Amino acid sequence: MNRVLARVSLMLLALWLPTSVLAADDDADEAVLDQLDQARERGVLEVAVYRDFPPYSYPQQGKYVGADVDLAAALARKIGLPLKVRPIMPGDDADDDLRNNIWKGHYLGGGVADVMLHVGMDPQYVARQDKADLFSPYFREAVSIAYRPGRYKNLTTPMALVGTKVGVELGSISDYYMSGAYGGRLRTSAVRLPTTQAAVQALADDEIDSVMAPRGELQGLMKMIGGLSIETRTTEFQGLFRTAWDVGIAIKAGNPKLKAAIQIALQELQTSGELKSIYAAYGVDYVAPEMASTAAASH
Amino acid sequence: METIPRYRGAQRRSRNTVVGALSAIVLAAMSMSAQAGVTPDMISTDATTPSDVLTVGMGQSGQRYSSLSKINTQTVVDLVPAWTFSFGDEKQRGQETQPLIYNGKMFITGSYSRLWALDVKSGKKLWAYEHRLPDGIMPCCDVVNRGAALFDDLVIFSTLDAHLVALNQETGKVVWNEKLDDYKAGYSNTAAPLIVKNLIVTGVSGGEFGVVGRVDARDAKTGKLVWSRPTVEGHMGTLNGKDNGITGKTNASWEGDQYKSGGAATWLGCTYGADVDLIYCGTGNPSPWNAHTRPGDNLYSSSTLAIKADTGKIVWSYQSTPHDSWDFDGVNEFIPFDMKKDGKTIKAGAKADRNGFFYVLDRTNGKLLGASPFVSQQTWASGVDMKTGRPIETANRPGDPGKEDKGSSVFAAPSFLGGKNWMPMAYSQNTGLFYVPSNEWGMDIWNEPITYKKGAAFLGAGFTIKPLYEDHIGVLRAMDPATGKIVWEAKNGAPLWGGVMSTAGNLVFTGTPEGYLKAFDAKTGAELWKFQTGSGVVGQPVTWEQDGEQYVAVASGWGGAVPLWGGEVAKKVKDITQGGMLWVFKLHTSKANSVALK
Repeated sequence: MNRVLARVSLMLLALWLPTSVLAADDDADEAVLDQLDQARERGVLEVAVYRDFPPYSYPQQGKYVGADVDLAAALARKIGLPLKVRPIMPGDDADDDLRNNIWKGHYLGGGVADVMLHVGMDPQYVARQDKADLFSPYFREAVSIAYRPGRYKNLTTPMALVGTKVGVELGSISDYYMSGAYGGRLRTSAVRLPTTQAAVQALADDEIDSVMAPRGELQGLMKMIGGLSIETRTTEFQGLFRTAWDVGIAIKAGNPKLKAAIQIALQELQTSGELKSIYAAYGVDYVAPEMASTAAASH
Repeated sequence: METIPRYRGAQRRSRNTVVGALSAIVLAAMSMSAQAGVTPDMISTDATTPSDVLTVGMGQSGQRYSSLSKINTQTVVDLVPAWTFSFGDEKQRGQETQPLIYNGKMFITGSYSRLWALDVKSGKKLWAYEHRLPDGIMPCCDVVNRGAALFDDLVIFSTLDAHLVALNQETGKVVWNEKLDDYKAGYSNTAAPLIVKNLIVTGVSGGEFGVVGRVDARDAKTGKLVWSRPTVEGHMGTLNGKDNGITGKTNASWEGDQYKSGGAATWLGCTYGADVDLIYCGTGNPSPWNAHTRPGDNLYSSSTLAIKADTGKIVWSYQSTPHDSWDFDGVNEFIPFDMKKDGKTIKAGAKADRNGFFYVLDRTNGKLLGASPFVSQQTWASGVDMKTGRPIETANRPGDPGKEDKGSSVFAAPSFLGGKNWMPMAYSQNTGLFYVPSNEWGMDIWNEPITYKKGAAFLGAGFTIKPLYEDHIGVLRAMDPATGKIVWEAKNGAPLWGGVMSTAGNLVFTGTPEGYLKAFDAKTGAELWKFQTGSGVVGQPVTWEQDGEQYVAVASGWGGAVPLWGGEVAKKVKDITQGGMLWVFKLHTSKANSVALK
């Protein structure tokens, strides 16, 4: 529904109806300013990024840096507001993150951020979110395997991993894949580590044979660790429900001005090539999202 | 309780002069200072000394039974407030605490890791301690605290940032502060610590991924770690800094390195059977949640462990939900009691498990003596095989999210919040019955193949909790441990979430989210008294005697895990307002006739 029209019609109705009726209406919060206006009043755009998530958002010498942090800074600059980064601890799944950081806030307090980055953008997932607006896919991730050249002769099927040590982040999609795919035949080949970073470090230290993780994370971490001669390969993993996915932006639903401002800003960053440079600075090959941003934006 | 004959008389303190009695103990011990405080002997006899409450659970075994009877089925109608205390400031939320009473003081913990010392006669605040919580704590299920422990001149409690803090009882000053684990990795702590001899025993909570449960025993005086016992097989325990044997046998019930992150958190703490010198701890669900990726029984998740207090070694274990698929956990309190059956007295222990079964085990060896449902519906198991001790499953496990699309929804009861959750039951030495705060709810579980975790595709599962009945969720039930039969039940609209207490006055006390503290007839379940406290009661009631009068106290303040979950249950609790208040009651005596009553 067009929220501006809705507000106009509500104002007209207000001439006729007692206010108690309006108060009971779900649209009673129409009087609340658009999140963009709130941000302008506050004088800062607060953007939520994942905590300790290299190369996208991670602390370095007391400051948050990374591709998502740079993207947040570029968005804030285009919108004309100073940036405040909110590093967030991930919940059990992204629904928790959206609730705690975008539309409701954590029960411990702290309120919500204006924007959240690195949100998975499957069309079904986007459609399921009624409290958060997910739009502007800006990058595409794909599950990949990193290994030293020659370690695997023929990695056309994940079954080639059997009997080798494959580092995975504990509780990640790679962990689940290694634990569950092919009737569990890969299960004992998984080396479960607390983070993808720890897994790449273990690969660098020659403690394991490969790492399975999203490609952007692998590339970024390999650059951070440096001096590694490692091949990454993206293959179709049979039995894995999503091999590749787009990531995009989330805001609280019902903030058309903020949404439009972000869409315009992101479009400019994509067109100018700035987005690609941000990724390149962290050693990540930029892969454009597959979803048409207009399709996702029509939510 | 088995220790009564041994200790009664010798250590029982006088009703009126706690200080005088303390001096006697000091003199007897000779080695203690004039400020001598709570001794291990006093802790072990706490259940039989009604002038104080030194332990959460009203005794190390956690029976929550008081021998006091001035407040009884006849007099309880005259129970009226004596004084109250507001926890204050904006930090309200769930108040799941239990007061401790000692040496003229009441020690009570509150939400957000706060602790107060009050004058037990007037309710006057003596001091307050507010633990400074760092940003970034991630407690799973509200900011509750479930009570403190007393030892010597210390009052000790665990905090949301996974510390154990010991304060001086007189001043509230920090004496020691030990880190239990790293809050940044998602660890937290809300359970009351347990004192066993000179040790303070704690579990760990939080950390959905990567956590391995364990039980730690520290020197209660200094906080220094004495032993640590992991609850997942394959992990090395320690004793005085040295290796102390591996828990179980590596890879006997786990594949690969999955045991390294196997879960089995001990988030509800432990009880103690002094006569067999065993610490009983319940363990949580195994990790990861999706059971299809972790074949095997996944020991010792969803189990009861009996650990030798002096050695930190596991003596026996009983797994109530092998290969847990439902997040049933097994953390519930195991309460040692002496069971009269067929003319014999059996050293037993009972546990009302989240999975809906009321288990009775031999507390010396863990042998199953009985298992019967304490909820009206269990879809996951038709019973428990008395020979093997294993559940007889009904093919009610959720599907594999890696294989199926959304659509195959499974209805399972109880729900993952359990036939009974954290809230402790009580045992009455008078009636021989257990009083179990139970909830009637199930859950739809379905696969949610499209979700994300930290920006990456992820296999998820969806849940919706559903009440089983229109008019009630909560049911307080009296269970006969010898027969496994439900003797009586009292229904409640909202889910029960508070502790239970029984007394020799033939009363059972418990609170309701609707705000009432209630007293029931222990034999019939008839509701005899209730008082509206102004917010939901999820605390643990206690009773004690002072100046010849019997007192009852409970914290009021709605919160805990229930309001954090949506679904149809939320409708039943959405109008409950928050609070943070301690209520203390005693029998009304009018000034006009108080002389006559004395």
